Amino acid sequence: MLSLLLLLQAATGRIDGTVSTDAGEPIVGGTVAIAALGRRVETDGAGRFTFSGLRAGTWRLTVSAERFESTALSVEVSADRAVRIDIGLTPLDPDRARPALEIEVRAADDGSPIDLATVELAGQTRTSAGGRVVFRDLAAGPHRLRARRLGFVAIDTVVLARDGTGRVALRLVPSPRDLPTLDVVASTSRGATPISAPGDLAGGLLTGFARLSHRELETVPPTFEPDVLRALQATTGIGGANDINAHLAIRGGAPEHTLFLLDGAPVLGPYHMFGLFGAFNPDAVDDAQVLRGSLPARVGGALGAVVSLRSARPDSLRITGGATVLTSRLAASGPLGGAGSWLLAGRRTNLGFGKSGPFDLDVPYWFWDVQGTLRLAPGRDQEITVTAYGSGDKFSEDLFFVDQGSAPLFSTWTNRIASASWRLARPSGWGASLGLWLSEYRSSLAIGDTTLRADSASTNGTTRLSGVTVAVGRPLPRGSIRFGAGLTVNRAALLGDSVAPGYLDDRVDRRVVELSASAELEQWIGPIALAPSLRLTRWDRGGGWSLEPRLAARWESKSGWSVTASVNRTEQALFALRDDRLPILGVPFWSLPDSLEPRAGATSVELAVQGAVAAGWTVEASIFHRRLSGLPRWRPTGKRDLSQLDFDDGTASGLELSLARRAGTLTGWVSYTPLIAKVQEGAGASYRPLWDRRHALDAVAQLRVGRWLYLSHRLTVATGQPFWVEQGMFAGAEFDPVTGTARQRSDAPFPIWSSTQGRLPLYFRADLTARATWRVGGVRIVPFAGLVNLTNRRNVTGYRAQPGGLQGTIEYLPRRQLPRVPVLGVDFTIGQERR
Amino acid sequence: MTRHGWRGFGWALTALALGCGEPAAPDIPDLTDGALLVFGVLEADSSRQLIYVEQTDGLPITRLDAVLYEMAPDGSERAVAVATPVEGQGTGYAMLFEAEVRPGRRYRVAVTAPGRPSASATTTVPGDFSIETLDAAGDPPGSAGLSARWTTSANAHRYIVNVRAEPDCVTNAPVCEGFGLPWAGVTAAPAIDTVVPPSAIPADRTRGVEVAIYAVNRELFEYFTTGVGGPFTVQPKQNVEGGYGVLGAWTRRARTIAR
Repeated sequence: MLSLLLLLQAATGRIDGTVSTDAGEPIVGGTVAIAALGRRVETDGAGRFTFSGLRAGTWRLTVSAERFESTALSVEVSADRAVRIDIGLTPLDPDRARPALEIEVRAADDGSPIDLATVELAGQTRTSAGGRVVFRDLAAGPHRLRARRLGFVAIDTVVLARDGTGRVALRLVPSPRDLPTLDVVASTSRGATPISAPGDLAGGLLTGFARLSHRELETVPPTFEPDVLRALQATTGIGGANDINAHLAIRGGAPEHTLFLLDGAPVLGPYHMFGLFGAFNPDAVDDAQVLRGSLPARVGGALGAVVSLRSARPDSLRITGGATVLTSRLAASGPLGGAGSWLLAGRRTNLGFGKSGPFDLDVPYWFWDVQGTLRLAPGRDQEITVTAYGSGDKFSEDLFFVDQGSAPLFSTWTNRIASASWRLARPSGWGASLGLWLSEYRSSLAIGDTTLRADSASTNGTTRLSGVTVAVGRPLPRGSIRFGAGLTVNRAALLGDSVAPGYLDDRVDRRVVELSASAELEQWIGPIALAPSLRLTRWDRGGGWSLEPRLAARWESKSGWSVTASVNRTEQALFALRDDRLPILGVPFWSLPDSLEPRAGATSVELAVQGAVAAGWTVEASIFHRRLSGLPRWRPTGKRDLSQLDFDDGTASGLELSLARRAGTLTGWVSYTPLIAKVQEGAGASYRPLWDRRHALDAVAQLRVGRWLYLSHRLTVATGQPFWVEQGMFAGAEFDPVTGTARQRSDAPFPIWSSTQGRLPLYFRADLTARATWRVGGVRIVPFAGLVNLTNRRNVTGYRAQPGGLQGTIEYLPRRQLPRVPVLGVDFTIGQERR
Repeated sequence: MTRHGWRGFGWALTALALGCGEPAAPDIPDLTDGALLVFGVLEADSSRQLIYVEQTDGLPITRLDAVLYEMAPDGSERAVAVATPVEGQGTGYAMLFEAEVRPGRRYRVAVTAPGRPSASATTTVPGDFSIETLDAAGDPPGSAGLSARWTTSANAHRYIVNVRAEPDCVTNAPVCEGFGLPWAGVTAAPAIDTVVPPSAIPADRTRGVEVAIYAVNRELFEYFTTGVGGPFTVQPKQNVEGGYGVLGAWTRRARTIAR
């Protein structure tokens, strides 16, 4: 691998250029030199020159010619690329001997010369070149000097010119500035290659699609610590189940209906701490893409939305990291000499097993995650991406539950993912891609025994997905065409131990092989586009074929507004076991139904309008209706075994309205999402799923105050969730070996639920975070502090019946969500900042 | 401040007022319908069948009627006994059927109380069976190995094998003490080969050791093994329609080993 890196580092580029007069006449015999290499060439009869065999990087050129002023400039050279530059020289001032005041303009942090700074002195305006600018014929005395350059703090001062000569050194303080975004009309798919990078969902006639950059994810005030999934919860159309979970419920689908991808590979159970946080290190992620709308055939196989995260693709060496009270994280990344990039990232909790923190804290929880990505660009249009990811959680504690006594709980779960992909994406002609991935998720849960042994753990689960995908596609004159195929092996094994009271009392080991083929076409006719696609899947069990068609149509105005309509069908076989009466979902276990019929499926119809209302402001509105079928429902009334798994049908209808501003001093978004979701049980009864929020208003705003302070605010107001009402407390029965009789047990009553639903009161939460951005030397330091649930609103996540409810009047006590919680942390970046 | 600024300020104040307040009262339907809790185990070959009936709403039960029906294979049923209360204090009663239930037969218990939903549950008594072999090695018996075989009991979901010293609840009444730690094994097959912990049998050699095998039907066994509190509460398996609880049955066979 090292040799490969060295080989890549050795990739070279070249500089081709001309030297001419201000009037455009070529200068013959001029000298162009790269002092760092000791190389020097002369311009030919046409004023041309060439440097070849240059390593990728920045080179300083000095250009001189007789009777012309010399100049110097920096040129960025990329591997396997030719850089063309045209240099104009100014004839020597015949009055060069006249008195001159030289202004030197350099950056305050690293002392580098600043080009293109505007310098005004004594009514004259000059532009700096090579970090200097000269003023002549100045009258003696004080003169107002002003210098400004985008990205630096302007200087306005007074200099004293004694005799019109001298030297003034200016040091400009860097001050990165958010530039207004350029609204790009969504016509990129017209004639673009349909072979996208791994994990890149963009392209085609998508609806309900959002891409949040790393910086936009930073905009959302952190809940305890920076977290990608929690940030996504505050975006349009995405609801969390409650304050506790980082789960994403989208368009009436359960959290497990959302497919997570990391560089194109599926991620099962992408959570830490029983779902409190997402398992992705924010430093390792370039952007998060969310596709809430109908899935094109190239994605398919998921009942609901798709959340795709892509590893950071740095263009310069960068070390980032941060720490909160809970975790520390570090990431290093950099380019591979213009031929790709690399990334290594890790995160873990600050305290954990085998380690006592300050004050002798006995911390029962520990988690970690690591991620490494190598991206190679062996040719102009080719890209190879290799990603490895691992995460682990471990928990052991003697938990005390109100009314239920204490219970030792031991839990571990791990994720291991490896993926490799090759992509040939030509601007014209056929492109192709090949992807391989393996994703394994293991989870264990034991109650009543804090030592995790195979014979004592209540439930062990292993879910392993492996797959290979191929795709070919090409741009058409006004559209594109793409064909794909895939082979996936899904295996889900669950071992439940009936000895200890645990999560599952069953043993299953199932495997399903899935063979799929897809075809997509996109064709523009004037301002209208049509995009039919079809995904066909054959399973080796359950019989039959799965057919996932999609048809999308878009009209696009010249001003960038578009209207898109789509209808599609999608299906999903693998699902997470979830006792949906538990508001806190806990460690997920995945399973496959014994028979794949019926499979969970969704048929969706949608209409979306999007466009820009003003510079930097975008608006989007979507109305949708989804019919859901074969939804797994696991609501065991006795022991938790899979024989009690049922399949329901349902509907979800809603509207998503959002207004976003992604540039300027004030950035953020406001979204309003009314949603009605209903599930029909097989027997005819119906219920509201936990994510039937009815009305949800999310607002996220970031205000830049001065040069270095950012205030981030998040506000969520939503209808309370539905929940099942506890019927009361129930005393169970047991066999008494002493007397050989059955008797009621009154020492450990437990709750039983009714089949009646209530609805929680209105939910409100406001978070506020202040982030300072300081640059010390070459290090950007960002300390942040904030409050979660600023108003200390006592939101509830459910109600429990008073003990003895079945022996007396029932009284419901609320289970509280997050109280006001302080958040403290610091992030840092060495090298170029993230975009 | 501009008009838009004031408007934004107003919205912010409204939001803060909303957020500072306490959540409104929950929208919880009234579930106190007065349903009854019924718990009973029918024991084959016994002439006394006890059930326990309790209210769930805190209000006293003014009158309670319970009838035991034997069901024919064709679905018809005949009343075999009417219960009489033997113990209780207004909110819960133990009710006694003076009737013998037979192995392999199906029975229904119906409970009614004025102003409350009627509760009803059916159960099938596990079939007749007999112990074929029983070997209890060591002292106390079984401590060096307990091996037993018995014929299959129709409709038995599990067999509970109970080893204990002969009960002496008369002299130790009201609390039967001196049995050591209780021990019971569970098996799905009509056989068991195991070792009984010596601590399960008291050192008192004046009493023999009883090995009892209970053929337990499914609803009763599942009720025993569910109803677990803790972080992942398991609800009880119940079979009472119109109420709560379980009506199960077992058939018991036992042998005593002299010491």
